Amino acid sequence: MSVYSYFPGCSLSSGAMEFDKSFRLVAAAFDIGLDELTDWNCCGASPAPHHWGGDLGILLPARNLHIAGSSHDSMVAPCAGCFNRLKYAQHELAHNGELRRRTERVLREPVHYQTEVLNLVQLLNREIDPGDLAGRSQGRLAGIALGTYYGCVLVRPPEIVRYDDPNNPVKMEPLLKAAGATIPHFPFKTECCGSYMGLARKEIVLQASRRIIEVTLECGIDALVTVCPLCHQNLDLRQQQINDAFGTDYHLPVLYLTQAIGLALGFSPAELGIEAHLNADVGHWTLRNDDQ
Amino acid sequence: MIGVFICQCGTNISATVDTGKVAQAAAAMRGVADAESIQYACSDPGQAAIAAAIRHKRLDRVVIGACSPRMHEATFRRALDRAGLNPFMLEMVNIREHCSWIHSDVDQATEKAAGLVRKGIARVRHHLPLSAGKTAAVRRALVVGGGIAGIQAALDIAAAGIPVTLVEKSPTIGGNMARLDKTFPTLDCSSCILTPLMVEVKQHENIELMVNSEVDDVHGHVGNFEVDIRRKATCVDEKKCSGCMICQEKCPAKAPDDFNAGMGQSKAISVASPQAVPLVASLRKEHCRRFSGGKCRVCQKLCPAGAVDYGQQDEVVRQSFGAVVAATGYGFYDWTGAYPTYGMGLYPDVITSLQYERLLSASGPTGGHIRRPSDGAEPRQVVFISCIGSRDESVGRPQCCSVGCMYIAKQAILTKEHIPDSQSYIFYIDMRAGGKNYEEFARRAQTRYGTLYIRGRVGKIFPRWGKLVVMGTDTLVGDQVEIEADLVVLATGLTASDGAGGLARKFNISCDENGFMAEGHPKLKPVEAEAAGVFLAGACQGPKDIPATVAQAGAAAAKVIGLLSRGELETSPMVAAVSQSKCSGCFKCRDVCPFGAIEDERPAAGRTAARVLASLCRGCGICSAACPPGVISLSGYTDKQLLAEVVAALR
Repeated sequence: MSVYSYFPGCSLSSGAMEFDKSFRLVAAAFDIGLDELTDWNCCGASPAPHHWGGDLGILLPARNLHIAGSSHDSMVAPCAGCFNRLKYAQHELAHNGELRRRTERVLREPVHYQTEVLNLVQLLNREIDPGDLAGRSQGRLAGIALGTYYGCVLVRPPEIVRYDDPNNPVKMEPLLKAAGATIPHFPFKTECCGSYMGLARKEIVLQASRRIIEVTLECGIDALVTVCPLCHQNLDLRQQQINDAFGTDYHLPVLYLTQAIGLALGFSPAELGIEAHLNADVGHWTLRNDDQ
Repeated sequence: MIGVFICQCGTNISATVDTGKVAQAAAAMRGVADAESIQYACSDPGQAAIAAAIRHKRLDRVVIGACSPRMHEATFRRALDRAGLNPFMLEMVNIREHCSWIHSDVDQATEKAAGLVRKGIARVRHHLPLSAGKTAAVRRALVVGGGIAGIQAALDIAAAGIPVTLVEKSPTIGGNMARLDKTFPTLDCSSCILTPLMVEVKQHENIELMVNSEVDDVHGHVGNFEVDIRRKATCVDEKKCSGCMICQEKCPAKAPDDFNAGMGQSKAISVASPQAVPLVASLRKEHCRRFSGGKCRVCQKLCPAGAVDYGQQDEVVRQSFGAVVAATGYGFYDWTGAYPTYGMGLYPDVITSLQYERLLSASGPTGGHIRRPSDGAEPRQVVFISCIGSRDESVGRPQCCSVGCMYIAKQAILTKEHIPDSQSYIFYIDMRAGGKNYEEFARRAQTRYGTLYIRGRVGKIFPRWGKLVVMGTDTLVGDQVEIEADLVVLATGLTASDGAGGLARKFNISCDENGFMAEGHPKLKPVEAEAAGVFLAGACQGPKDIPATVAQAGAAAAKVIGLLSRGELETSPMVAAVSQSKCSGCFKCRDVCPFGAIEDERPAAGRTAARVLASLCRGCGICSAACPPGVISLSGYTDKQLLAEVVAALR
């Protein structure tokens, strides 16, 4: 069993607890060991470091990298935002010696920054054999059309995260296909959801996310799949706000990747925390098969 | 008595190299009778000064420190010749490209230039008078590629009475121009101006036309290229086929329509287009039922001329040519992989400009009515997107296609003429309309035809409510725009054509980083390839429009006519020679010679020795370096000359 240092970050410990819950279930199902970082701190993606300026946006993730790197060769950050900040810090520390020295003054020891940082898709692609998943899913997701929604920070900036094609990412597809779902062409895979503009200019988020939902339905997709808690928040939590603002009547489920895989493995929506979502109407997907 | 002339080349050299000092240093060397700095050595007064010095100071050898010998060696050799000196008593030292242009420190550059000149002086001391030989040139030219460039070059050469073989890989000549509907900026009908030329090629007594043919292999050199041409089997006897198209009508196997750029369908056996020259059918085995294991012989049974022959084999013909014109044209950038946000080819109503051209053309699959591929409806809103695979570093293609702005303007105008209540939008980066009457034409697209130009790029195309939404930026307004389109036309950039690289290698033509063939000099040798006797015509050398292509093809033809009209060519005297009495007959030289210029000879009974065929030798010197006893010497590059140079360099 391979063991990874696990960085949940704030979302998976609060607003996206169901992401953490489903991730741990899927990890256990495939014998992936997760060792949560002790005494981890903010990943650096919260607004404070951006507005504070200075080195804080690097120092925060650098400390997490350092903690993980002191005990493990690889770490996983399921939240796309955490992943992005860790990769960013890693890149900056590797290329900026002065910054590295400043970081070490704060840490009071040589910084371990070279530990391998994996996002969730990367980890699952490495650890899950598609044939195995296909066998265990028993066609539970057959006939379900899933839209793979990657968002922005998982694949951008490409020279820093170096993961998948920034214009047309495809790495979630093999897992979901193995889980039995169909993956229609979806042109809005990386379209902006409005990000944290939800705080300052909510209408921007509502417009941007509405358009994503609109195109999703146009493509004949039953549910979106993502690994970004902020995207999830804009697309699921704000769906009623969108309906109120535009007079629409959307009820599009938005799942975390581990929830979709969890459904394929036979876990119930409740076990996977899907019922915590506002648009959670997926129960009938798998019941259909399990009843037979 | 050596004369040394240091050219200032205006400020090209003198800004970084103190030419007076270099001349002074040269004057102090043994055997130097005259050393001077000249403002422009290649100019008339410059050449006169060199000639005067040769006469008055009785110089018998000359060193010129100036630009690259590739630039002006021939010029100065002629100057020596006119002054009564053997032209090969010249040594050119490159103190411009190799020194002044690449350095900035005057003292160091001057010292380096003086050192380079010192080497040249040491070398010129060992120069011997040489004389150029003559060799007969084959009075026949090969033109590769049957688009407008190849057609024009072939007609012009043939008009001068020189026989031409025109080789075209596809079943018809005419190239991309034959697929265009109208041409900018005059809106001439493309086939109306091209078809007569195609027919003339077919009928010309001096032109042998070989379609479905490709260059297989090339030997020889300028004046005598021996070329193997492969005539690919098409299962149709070209001499018997009358072009009646009964076979195409009755053939049960559908196949992609290459001529119509994939719009519409063709058959496994077909005539490329109604205007094809020659008007002959050809069969594509990969689509034919008979060749995929079936029993079908419909075409053979129905052919009234008995022209169908399933057993036809490729045939390789060897011909000799004195000169070659490469006119392989261009291809279109394949956008589907590089622009995933435009749908990767999944939306049938996102098409390329060439496909749109076929929809506009009366000979196209829709008979000249604009019908969008998905449902055959007439589009009302048409969006054109320029610079697909051009001027886009994100897909590694920074170059301008040079015709996109104009052909989009043309297509927008034609759209309005076909569908008066339509609206065209053009996303563009810059308007490039540099040719004669081009700007006025593009302006007309806006003023008279109401085309809306939006300056900016398109980020995404996606389907919504049965339309295609084109989402982009209007950089002049500074805002995002969304246009609901019925049809989207992508102005794909031009690439080197498929197979151009392979042909270039066969003829030793170098290619630039974009795969286009490289001219000898960007200004002064625009149609000459670096390999002697090989000329370039049209878009194989770089993207260009029809007028520029025709002009270049005419220029290439003029060069071929100039080369072959004298009947014989001067050969370089700088060839290898074997001292046969010392040759051990090991023939390592023959193994390494890339030109097959070494043969064996029996100078005395019981003994073989190598001999260099001067007419084939290109003076590369590989044999001389490989010869174990060191008895092969290359004129102009003897061991003595090279060693003297090295010694002077190390001093």
